[in-house]
Amino acid sequence: MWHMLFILCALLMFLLPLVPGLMEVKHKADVQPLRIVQEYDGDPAYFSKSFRQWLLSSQSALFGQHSATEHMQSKFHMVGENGVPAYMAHEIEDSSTSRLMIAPAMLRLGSHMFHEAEIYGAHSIHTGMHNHYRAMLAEGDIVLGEQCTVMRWIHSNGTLHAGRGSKLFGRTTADGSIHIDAESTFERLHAPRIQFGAHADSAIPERNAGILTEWNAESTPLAGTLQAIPLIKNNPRQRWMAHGELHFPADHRIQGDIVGSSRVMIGEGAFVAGSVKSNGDLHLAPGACIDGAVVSTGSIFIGEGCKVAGPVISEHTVHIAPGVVIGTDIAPTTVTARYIKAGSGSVAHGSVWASKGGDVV
Amino acid sequence: MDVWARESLLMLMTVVVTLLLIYTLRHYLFTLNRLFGRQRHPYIHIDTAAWPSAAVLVAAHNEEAVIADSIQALLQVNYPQDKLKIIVVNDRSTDRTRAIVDDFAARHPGRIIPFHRSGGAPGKAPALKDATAMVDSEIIIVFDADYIPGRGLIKQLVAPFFDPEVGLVMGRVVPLNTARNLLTRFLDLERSGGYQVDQQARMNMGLVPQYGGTVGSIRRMALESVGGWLEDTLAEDTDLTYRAILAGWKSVYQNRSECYEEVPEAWPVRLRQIARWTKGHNQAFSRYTPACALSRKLRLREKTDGLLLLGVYWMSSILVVGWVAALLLFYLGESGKAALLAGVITITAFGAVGNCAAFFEIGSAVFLDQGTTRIRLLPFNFLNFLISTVTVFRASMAQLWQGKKRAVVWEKTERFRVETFVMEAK
Repeated sequence: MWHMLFILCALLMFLLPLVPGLMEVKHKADVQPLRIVQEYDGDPAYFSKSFRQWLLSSQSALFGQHSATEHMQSKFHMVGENGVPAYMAHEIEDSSTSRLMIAPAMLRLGSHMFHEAEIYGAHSIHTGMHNHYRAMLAEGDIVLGEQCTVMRWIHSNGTLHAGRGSKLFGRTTADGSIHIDAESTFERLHAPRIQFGAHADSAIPERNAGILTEWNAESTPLAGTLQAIPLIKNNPRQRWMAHGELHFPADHRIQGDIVGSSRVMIGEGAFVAGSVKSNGDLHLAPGACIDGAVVSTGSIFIGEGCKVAGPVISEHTVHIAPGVVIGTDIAPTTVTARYIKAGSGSVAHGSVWASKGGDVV
Repeated sequence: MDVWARESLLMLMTVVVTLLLIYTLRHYLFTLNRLFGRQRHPYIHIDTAAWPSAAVLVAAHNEEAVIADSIQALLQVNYPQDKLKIIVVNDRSTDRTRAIVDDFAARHPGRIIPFHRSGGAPGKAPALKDATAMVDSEIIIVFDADYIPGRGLIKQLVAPFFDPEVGLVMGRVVPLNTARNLLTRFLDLERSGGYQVDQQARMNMGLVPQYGGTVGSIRRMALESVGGWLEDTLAEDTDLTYRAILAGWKSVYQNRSECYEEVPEAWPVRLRQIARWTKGHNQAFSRYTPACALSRKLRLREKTDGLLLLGVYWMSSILVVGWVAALLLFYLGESGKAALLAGVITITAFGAVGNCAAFFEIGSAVFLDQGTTRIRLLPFNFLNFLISTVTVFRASMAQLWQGKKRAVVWEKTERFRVETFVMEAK
């Protein structure tokens, strides 16, 4: 009898921790595969496109007979042809509206207003200062006044100009171009052309890569070592490995990718017909030109008047000086880092993504 | 004699326990790094660039159950069409694979390139070698036929190659058929631990994320510079990982580049899979351990991780040796030290064997994946652990016994899918 009881107790002690698992096996409460959004393709304008799609699918409800009902008016704000919103009394009193605004013509917004819902403009949108927006989509241009804040996303089918001191959280995209004035902050930008601050011509004279001296170890010794690694037999392309800190000389050119085990500095006016990677900070002196990508496990400092054709990838901060051009109209690219400090007068083509925050300085 | 035997066994057990402790510590480090460390995803935000030419190689052998889903998904990816070739490597299939591939090729001329392989050495590595020779693309992307890539996956797997130091890229594999049975649920937990924690922690810590042979990509120049695919290897992925890192290339893991796969639904299939992985991994161990230890191109932390990764499938055998030694010591009358060492083995074994992730690693992975009640299955994973241990041990012993006499035999993993996978709507 006691033996049986002991065995029963032992069995119970063994099985008790398994009870939740047995319940899960029986009920299959959390059995679905990990969710992967198969359709997600990284499109920076994903949210604005989804919003436009939603608007189109809701068109009959928004513009049909129902739109005149009190319920609809409490949720949507249909702006008249004059393009000036007619706020309700309590909205003016609170300086805040929670209605989704739809403007069939050019929209003009005042200042000091908090827009908790999305704004759609079938044409262009011009806003006053010190406004807050949840999200904004315009089929034409957008001009944001000074000190405006966008909380989720903003998209213009034309050009987008954010005034001084804007705070652009989330995605800022335009089919034409983006111009962000100084003292503004941003997270993710995407447009064929992105201008930071006022336009500024670089004082650094542009070098002709064709007349630069081809670097070789005998004629131009380096601070650091640079060793050629031929990759494949009979293939002229090669990698250059730098062991320790590397200072590549000014006004020289080199063919191939450079990989540095530590800090890398590319001299003034130098031209690299390939990509540069550093396992440490990476400095491009003024006027340097990189025909490929610039990658660093640390920070990247891009000097005045530099040109970079490929992606700029930093695991910390990218400092972009005035007059820098990244990517081109026909070959846009990406700048990605935790922090990005873009100098006034610099230009990027494509995407600029600061995962922790970007500033126009 | 009795004393000598006892001392020898105690020394053996001490070595076993030390190794187990090292592997357990490694799992703790990975888990803590994943939970509290800085996470590295340096290439995941690259969405705009002059994309290089890429070739997707889909390795297929008797894949009629799954190949259509894979091709259909690849046709929908957002990589520039003029830069992408999709080559289905049909290696001597005897089912309807050929007909399905040809049908797709006829409907999508120029986009799907069938490569019907009827000769040459059998196996994935020789098939990939022949297929690679067909294309001149800068990047080679490899998928198994049961994988279903999302629209943005190809760009994500190519983006790290803008870094000139990167030779190999690995994405995350996510089981699709988790709901089938207890085995598929175990494998779901195991994969979570392996990718969400192990691989990402390696990426974070600058160690050696392993190229896994599928949902992965290779820089063609890196592949050619290390001698291309080797035909005599059982684990072409591990083999390539080590040849590449020893030549100075880096491997990269992209945790957010996820792709569905089908995991084995039957234990015999699973056991064959583990046995194949074991033999392949052990083969890499014997080939690359000295080179890895002596390499001047690897940093100390990379060397350490590389060596531990190479030895991971020997840990099952070492654990079994430890168990046997503990038993013998017990019968030889040794109690004090032996009991202590046996206790340590008991605590550490679960976290140190083969490809079986430690329980705390799986728990953390489920937490990071925001899973809910699936974590309750964790106690049952002990069963999976035991089965894995015995299978890895048997495969290792068989490999030792056969030595180099036996020719390389490729054992394909059986497929189970009966329904067409429907791509999730936005």
